[in-house]
Amino acid sequence: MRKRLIITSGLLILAATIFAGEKPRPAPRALLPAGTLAVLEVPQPEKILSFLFDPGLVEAITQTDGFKQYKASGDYKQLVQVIRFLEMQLGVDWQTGLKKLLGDGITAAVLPGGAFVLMVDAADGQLLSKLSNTILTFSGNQASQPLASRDCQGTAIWTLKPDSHFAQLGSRLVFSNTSAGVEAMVKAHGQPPEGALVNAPHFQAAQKAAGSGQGATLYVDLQTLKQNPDIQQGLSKSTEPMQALFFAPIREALLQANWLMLSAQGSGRQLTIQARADHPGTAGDASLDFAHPGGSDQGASEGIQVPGLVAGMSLYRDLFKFYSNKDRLFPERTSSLIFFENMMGIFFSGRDLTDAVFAELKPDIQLVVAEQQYDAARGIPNPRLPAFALVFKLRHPDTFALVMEEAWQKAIGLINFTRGQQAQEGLIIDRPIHESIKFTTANFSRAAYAGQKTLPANFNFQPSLAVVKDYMIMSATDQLARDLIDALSKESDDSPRPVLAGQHSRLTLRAAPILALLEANRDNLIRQNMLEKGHDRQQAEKEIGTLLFLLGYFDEASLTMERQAALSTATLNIKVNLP
Amino acid sequence: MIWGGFEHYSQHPEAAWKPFQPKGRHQWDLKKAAHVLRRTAFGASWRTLSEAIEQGLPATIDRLLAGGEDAAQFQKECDGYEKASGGGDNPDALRAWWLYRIIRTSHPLLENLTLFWHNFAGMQQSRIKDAALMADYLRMLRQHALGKVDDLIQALCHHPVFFLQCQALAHRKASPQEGFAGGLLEWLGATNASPADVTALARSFTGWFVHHNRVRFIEREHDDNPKTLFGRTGNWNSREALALILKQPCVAQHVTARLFRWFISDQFEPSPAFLAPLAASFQEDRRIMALIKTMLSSRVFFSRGAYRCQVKSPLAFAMGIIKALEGRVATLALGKALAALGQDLYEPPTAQGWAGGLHWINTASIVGRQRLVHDLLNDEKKMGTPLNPAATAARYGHHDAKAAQTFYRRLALQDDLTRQIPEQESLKAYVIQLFMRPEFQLA
Repeated sequence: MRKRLIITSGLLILAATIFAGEKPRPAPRALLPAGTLAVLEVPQPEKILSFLFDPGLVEAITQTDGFKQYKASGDYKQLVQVIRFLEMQLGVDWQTGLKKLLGDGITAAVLPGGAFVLMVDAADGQLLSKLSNTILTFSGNQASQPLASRDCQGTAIWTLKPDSHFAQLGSRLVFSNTSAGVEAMVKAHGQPPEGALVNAPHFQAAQKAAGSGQGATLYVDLQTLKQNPDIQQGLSKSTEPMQALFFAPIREALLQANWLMLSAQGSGRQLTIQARADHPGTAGDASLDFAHPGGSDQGASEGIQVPGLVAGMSLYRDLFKFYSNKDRLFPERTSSLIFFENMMGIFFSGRDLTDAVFAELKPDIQLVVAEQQYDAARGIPNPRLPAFALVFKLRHPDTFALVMEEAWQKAIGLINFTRGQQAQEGLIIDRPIHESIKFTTANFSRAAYAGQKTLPANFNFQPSLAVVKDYMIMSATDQLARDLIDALSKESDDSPRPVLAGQHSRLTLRAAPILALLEANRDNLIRQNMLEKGHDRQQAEKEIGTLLFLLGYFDEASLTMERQAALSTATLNIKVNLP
Repeated sequence: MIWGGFEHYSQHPEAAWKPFQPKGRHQWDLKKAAHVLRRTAFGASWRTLSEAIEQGLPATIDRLLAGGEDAAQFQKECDGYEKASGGGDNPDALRAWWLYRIIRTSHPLLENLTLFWHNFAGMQQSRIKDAALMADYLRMLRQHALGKVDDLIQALCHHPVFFLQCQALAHRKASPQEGFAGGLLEWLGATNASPADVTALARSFTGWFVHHNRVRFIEREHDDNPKTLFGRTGNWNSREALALILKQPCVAQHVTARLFRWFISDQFEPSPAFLAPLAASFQEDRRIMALIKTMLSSRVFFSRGAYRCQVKSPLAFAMGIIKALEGRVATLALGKALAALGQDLYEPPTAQGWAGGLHWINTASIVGRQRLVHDLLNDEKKMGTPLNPAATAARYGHHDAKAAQTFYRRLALQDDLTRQIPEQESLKAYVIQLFMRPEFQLA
């Protein structure tokens, strides 16, 4: 009886607070103090909800084995009961209810002291009040003690659990893991803080960089975040050359930046996520110039198109500058680095790797990954792997092509020698002509596999080298080398592939060929799943089936990274296939 | 357990190998059923234990030797998985498939014996560098593990893995490999072999070559002149020579002693007289299955000296937990964890296999075992879905904590605790303590 009285009086106070006179609510970001670590803002959740409630998508998800499995579980039944209860209490179906309750936006933030705050602005204040009442009644009935509340400037702050507190401010609901977090928002609601985040120059700059009309934004105060030892460790210098080659520009951008702004925008079938960080213009590390396009006409070039393209990566990386600064970029002389340099010394007949090899390459590097076609009559390797190739631009193709050819054939010879020691078949070198280009390719000997339908994985590879105009192709397969020769031969000097000015890295992925490749290797994936997760065959088949099914909803994705005058930007574009 | 220790039976070898007959105080009970299943099947679930108690000793041993009805089909499926995993010199996947078999098979004794013969021969993947070939070798061991010893040794000694391990890839008429022959005789325990026997055996193996990891017999390289081996003269080829060696009583004695160490005790060194009755019947019968049956049914197997006297290998330790909790773990990760604990399944450290016994336990390995238990039970999913003691106990009707603790004391240790486990905050914590008790480290 006492409990009911307390709850009823609490509800009365709450109702009185709500309807005492509602004044226009300040924007949630205006309540946040300067020094807020991170802010996630979703101004129009309805757009996201409409996407999620798309009948085609809902039907597709409900058809998955994973969902059917979940539907049969007790958790699902419990969830349905809760939803039905809420629908009854609120007098509205859950989809409409959700849209009305979240309609005016969601804001989540991590405050300076570490408290987490969630603010939900409802489009329907009355519905929100009903929800508050339901939460209080339900929590009160569940709890062994009466629910605790305290007054803060006329607003009741309720404690549902030690780490769960909330208050209602008109049509806004504020949740936090600490009572102080809710209190700070309630006080700011009455009087916005003097040093509010909205007035902070970094936040303003980040907002300006993101522009308006974003579906969601996430602001992160990097200055404060970088004090965290784990993050410091993550940003510390890598000793691995390949990591330094690919990730040094990203690491540098994060090290120098004061803030990071992530924004997401959906349009039709396309979702664009952008990450922007400021680049204060302080003197950067000169050793990283290898990845900074210098002039306005410099940058990674647009990807090469070949049949069955799976992925393409365009990089602006000056390998000469990179290796000249190796002592600063990856100071540790690891055994693999020493081995690499020794081997390069042999392959390039003692030429200096930096001055006589890498200096011959322009900063334009392309990685191309494509599907492979197999001739069933000659046997199919298991597992099937995609073909891949590296394409470099040469400064002096007339002289360096021969140097490279010699090095390539030495490498093939070394592979043959090593495999021979292990009683394994070797590579037979051939020099065919394709489109008037004589190139080098090598096929594994099939003598020991005559008539076999399934071949070992090494039969995925026919290492090939070709030079077309000033391009050098190092391909894992003969077919991809030929496709690249075709593509690059068609390029005319008058209209070369465009250079993406300022971009240092660009990656594109196409889901359909990846899906086809995974389908072709479905059995291997299932077996791997059995070993990696301890599943039986049926469980593994289900899990892989669901994974491939979901992958079918992706069309393609691209990621570009660039640095303009005072801003580093990474843009991820994802295209989805909706039914 | 029952009548005395090894000292008693050393005085009465005939009595040692007589079948154990439950009577009086010495009934077929939980302790004895768990003892059999620990030594033969790497441990057991409560259901398996209950079935064994209900069926009695002879039926339990018959079932262990024969395997479940689905065993052959299961082996066929696993063979297919292994073959599809391909070759190369990375044994991770093949090691994981073997563990997958061990966890799920309804014929665990077959896997135990496959491991025994693998340990007996001591073949190492790091030398062979062909995981698919090693898997083929293991399949050959599995095929013969419970059959006739002659078939097994013949197949083993003519498998490419054997020649590769011994680095004897060319047995030319002009230069018979006496080192190989001497090693083979020593390995089989033919202690009565003379230098002339070594030479004769080496000559009998001439003609065998390994090319591209495949065995070939080249007729023209075979020495077809008469050879005298263990006093018998003839134009022996390698198979005939091996048959002569296998007929030597000391070979039967050697194999019997190794099986005794594996199944009964690796702490007690049995005298030839002690093993003589067993070795004699094995010498006559040649069937490994019959020898194992005699051992597992014997009084000495259930004697005080044999009970909880072997230090569990990392594999037996992990399987004891997995089987008790009826779990399905990620075998790729488990294989790596066992290798870190000193038992890389495809890599016995020497030609004599793993040293075993007290060598399994040291300060570092205890910490490693503790980490393994945590990885198996805790929620990080390092080993796939974590094992769930509460769910397993509930399956047998033990819902409250006290009942579940009692259940696990009986399941894992058959109440063989010398000291009580202090109160723990959760059942999981209690079970972890149980698995880390010294008693649980012993089979």
